[in-house]
Amino acid sequence: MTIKNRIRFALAFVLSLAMVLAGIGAAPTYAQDSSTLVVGFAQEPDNMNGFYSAMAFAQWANDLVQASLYDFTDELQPVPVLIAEIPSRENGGISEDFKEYTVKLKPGLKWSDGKPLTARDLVFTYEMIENPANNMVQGGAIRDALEAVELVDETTFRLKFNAPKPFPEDLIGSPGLSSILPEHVFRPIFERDGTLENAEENQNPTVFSGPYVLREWKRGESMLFEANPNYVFGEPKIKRVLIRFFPDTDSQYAALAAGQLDYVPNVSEGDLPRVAASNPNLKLVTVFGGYIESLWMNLQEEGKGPRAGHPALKDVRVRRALRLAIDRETITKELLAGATSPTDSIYSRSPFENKELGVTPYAPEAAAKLLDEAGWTLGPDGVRQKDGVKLELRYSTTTAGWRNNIQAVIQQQLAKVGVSVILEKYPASAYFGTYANNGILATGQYDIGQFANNTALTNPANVTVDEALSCAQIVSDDNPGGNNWTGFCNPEMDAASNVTKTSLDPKERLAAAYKIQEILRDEVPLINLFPRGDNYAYNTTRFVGTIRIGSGVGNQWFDIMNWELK
Amino acid sequence: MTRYILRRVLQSIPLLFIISFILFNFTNSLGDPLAIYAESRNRPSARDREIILKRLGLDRPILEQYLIWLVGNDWMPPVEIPTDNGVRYERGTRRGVLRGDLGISFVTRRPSWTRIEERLPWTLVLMIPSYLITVVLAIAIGIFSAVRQYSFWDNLITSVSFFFYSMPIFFVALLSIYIFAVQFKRWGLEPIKWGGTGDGTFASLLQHMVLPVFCLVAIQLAGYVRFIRSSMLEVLNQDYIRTARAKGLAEGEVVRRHAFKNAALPLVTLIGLDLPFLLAGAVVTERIFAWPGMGRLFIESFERADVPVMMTILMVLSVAVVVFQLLTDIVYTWLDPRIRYS
Repeated sequence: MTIKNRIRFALAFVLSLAMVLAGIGAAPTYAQDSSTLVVGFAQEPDNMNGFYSAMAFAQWANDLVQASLYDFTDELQPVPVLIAEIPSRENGGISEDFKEYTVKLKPGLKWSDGKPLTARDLVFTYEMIENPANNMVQGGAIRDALEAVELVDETTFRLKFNAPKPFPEDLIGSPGLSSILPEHVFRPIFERDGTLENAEENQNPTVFSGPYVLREWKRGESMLFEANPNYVFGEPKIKRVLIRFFPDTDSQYAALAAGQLDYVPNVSEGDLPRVAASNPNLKLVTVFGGYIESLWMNLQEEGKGPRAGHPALKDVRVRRALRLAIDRETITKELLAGATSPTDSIYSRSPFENKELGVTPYAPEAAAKLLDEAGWTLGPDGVRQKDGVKLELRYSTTTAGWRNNIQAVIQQQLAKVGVSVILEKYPASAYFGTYANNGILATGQYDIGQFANNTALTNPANVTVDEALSCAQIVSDDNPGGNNWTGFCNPEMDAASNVTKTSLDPKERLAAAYKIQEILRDEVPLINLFPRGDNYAYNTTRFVGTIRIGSGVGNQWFDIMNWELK
Repeated sequence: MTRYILRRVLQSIPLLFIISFILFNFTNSLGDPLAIYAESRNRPSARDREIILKRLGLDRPILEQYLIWLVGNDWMPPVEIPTDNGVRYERGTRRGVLRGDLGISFVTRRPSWTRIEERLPWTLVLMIPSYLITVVLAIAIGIFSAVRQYSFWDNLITSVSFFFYSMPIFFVALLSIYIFAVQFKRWGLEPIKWGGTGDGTFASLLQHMVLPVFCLVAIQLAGYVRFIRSSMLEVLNQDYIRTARAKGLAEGEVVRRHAFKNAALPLVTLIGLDLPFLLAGAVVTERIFAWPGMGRLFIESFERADVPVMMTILMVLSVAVVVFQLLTDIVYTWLDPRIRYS
């Protein structure tokens, strides 16, 4: 064979290989027309069983195919989906002592395969959450609270809790219980394997209750959804939704600008201006979902395991000075296109925010004065020092580009008041690693750490306060599983936090939430920068009218059955 | 020859063990698979996380984890799993790499080999055509510029190929998207579709391949062109070429049959070194063009510290390197009868 012939042979081989593969992968073809909505996701879901994934993108894909008992609108109003009405004390759904919920489903509900969706499926779901063999990582709050679940009749079930539970959404609505497992599919799997954790059904689900059904998942590339005629609100007007994965956000934005994508749910704040400029037909929508970006101080003590932070941080005056020295207004305006604004409150943009506390202004002179007071005086090199120790802080965050931009700006702002910071960035998998696995935050390898905390927008029980800032959760050699990586401890705040979780009196809960905000403003274990929005972009030329997008705390597709394409 | 091959295969076994041990330590130190839960809305409790760690065997010393990776844990004493009422005992189910079980992906909980199987074909669909086009073009251009050394065309080709060679791939990729897709649409031309592999038809697949293949060829071409040009130049100055010309052979015949055949030998080494890495895919290109290939799988697994998937990819590559090295040596004897192994 001559070289020429060999090349011809190889070309023919590759071409036939490609044709064979294309033949194997032959899929239902789609066109981007009035029946198909094309959505771009920056990440691919890892699991289609909502109880096993902590990924936002997995939750979003799951929300398309699994109906919740109830949802929240864009204005945080609850809407019943599968339940007839939201249980309350007035309608008898919640017992006097808040320990028993009686929940009624709408009559005649059906799964996508036509089988009836009844209270039996709900009872089964709660039983699966309760069973430790399943280890449902997203069901922990329910499992810890639930004492018993019983079937009343085909459309009614009753939940009994071990303590008063004032917030039904944590336990029956979204986000607490956002998927329901079809008993007729999962029970045989459970009986066969003894656990649902590794079920193929989690990866390739076949039965659905939501507005769409998953028709095809091309791994690494796309998911195709088709309208579910059995959906409780009727078959959606848009017949198909194609989610395409664009791991590179630049190319995702280019596809949006070119009209190849109709809807993108993950525009980063810092990218809003250029996305808006890339195509005049794009409409941008920001919905606040309860995430707050913050700078966390390392207040750990020496000798308990984790590395202790810089000694200066132990002095509350230094922490307050740092907050005064950071110009958060400029950061939100210049780097984040004004999509958000600074906050001091850990309840920012929720009904429980104490607006009277205000926002600490940018005041570098006041900051310098406080630092002088604390004994950290300017040294000859422009960096403050005390007893030979320089005020030089290790300031770290993840490798996300927008976070690194903020780091650089804060570094300059702090330099103006004589605080030097060393910037560090880590992959999220190392940064948020556990104590046992030498996670950067958990083992205290930082002085200032920038990452998000989250707050529930629908009730004042704040998971960040409860876990990441409580005395009991401080991580150490004795408590390696602790979630409090700052070392901050204030028993008064822990008491208030307990009131927000368990008090049955809404006024008392609100007062406790206000107390927490006051303590955090005065003690500054973390500097809140700004609430982070969920930023959506959609192409107005493709949709009929404007569309309603749900709050990030609930389900962005809560109204998708009413969306319509041109 | 058979003995030679046998010896090489036997030699590669301890080598693969050493490689796998180093890689296992390396991939395990890259991060924490549980870190994903830190910023999630419903954080699993400390006990839930402990159960995950125990089930995945991540609470054990690294040497023991390596042993489990190799020979499985189904023969080991059961694992204690804490529950509300005491402890549960669970038997291990892993059989280990040596018994054909490459482990379960921490992220999807499916066999890690399944994840490779889904991606490998698409990587080859992208990489093999790009590589063939690169090599064929490089041979044509390399010979052309060697024969016309320092001519206008030689200089032009050299400049253009170096222009692309010195560009970062992400820039070429984003620029080509910008021009051929975004701007084409604004200019009223039919934009070239990109992102993924198309809607399942062959025509659509080809269209979606245009831009990524163009980018891969553009940045790889220059290296090969320079290589072939210089090895051709070396051969063209040999005495036997002068002899061939003196015999009155046509110039084309001299270049093709006498010069190129001899200049091609080092090219075989280069191709033999590069071929196994076609399996690795192209990280940046696959990311930007949303191509479901191996490079992306590796990066995504890295981001989630998915050790079993990373290990499977790296071991597939290690085996491929060993195999292709051996194949290259065998091809040598076929191309050059002077070479003999014993």
